[in-house]
Amino acid sequence: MPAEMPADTKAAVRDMVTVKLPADSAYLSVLRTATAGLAARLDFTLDEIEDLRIAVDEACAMLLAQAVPGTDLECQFELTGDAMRIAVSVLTVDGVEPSRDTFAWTVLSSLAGDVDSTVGADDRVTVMLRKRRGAAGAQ
Amino acid sequence: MTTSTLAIGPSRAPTPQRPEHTLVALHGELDLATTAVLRERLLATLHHGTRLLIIDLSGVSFCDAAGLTVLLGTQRRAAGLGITLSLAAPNPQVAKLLRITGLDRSLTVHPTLHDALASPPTRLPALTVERRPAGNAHRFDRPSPTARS
Repeated sequence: MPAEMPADTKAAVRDMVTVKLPADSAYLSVLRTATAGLAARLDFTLDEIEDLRIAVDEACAMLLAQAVPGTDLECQFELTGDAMRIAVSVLTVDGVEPSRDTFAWTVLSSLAGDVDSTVGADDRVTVMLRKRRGAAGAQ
Repeated sequence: MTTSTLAIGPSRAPTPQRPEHTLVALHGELDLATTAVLRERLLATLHHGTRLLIIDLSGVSFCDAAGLTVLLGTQRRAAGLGITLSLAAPNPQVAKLLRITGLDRSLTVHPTLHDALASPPTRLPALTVERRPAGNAHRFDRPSPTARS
């Protein structure tokens, strides 16, 4: 990856990045740092980067509560020209979608805008969020 | 850094002569990895003789909903003991989270530590308490703990 890209080619960025970490809260700070780095690559503003850092942290934290011990937390980032789509998933014990009646979900949906969750076969729970550069967020 | 760190200790800010308050300063990141030790330590600061617990957040660089939940739980426990909890000097990220969750209405938040120290406790203590010496900033062992889940 070139260190510097001309501004006009940044709009054409379309990369997938997958980060896999132990499903352990000790790694939340690592994931926040990775999120900030990827958001900076898409020229998100400092405020938007901060929002994404918190949103990813909340998505992971709500999944860690029901993660099968010893498994991995998988975080998939899809970088397009002006947006980032993030899917965080973990194998869970109960296969239950995160409650939406929590501070964590309030924060997540306020900062990311576009948020959803699903439960797959094998009780893998996924939280998806999408943030567009320049979109109005919670102030 | 592979883990979140959070330190809790006496505030470095000058403490005016003021009785019956406890001042705690938090430093570091306040997330799921650090909330367990934070909860335990904050609850340990609640004791008779304190009318006002001030938590200086100026050194908190990150806070999420798990961190807010600990602050709210501490406030509830404090209220039961007749102690008022004040939060001081949250950075813009923490202030934004308090606003988003509406907790800025149920918690007392001061923009600066000076403001928090200048504001009297809003509730009377539930019990008659022994008067403490002025400026009893709470002290913890150093070096700062590294919290792991």
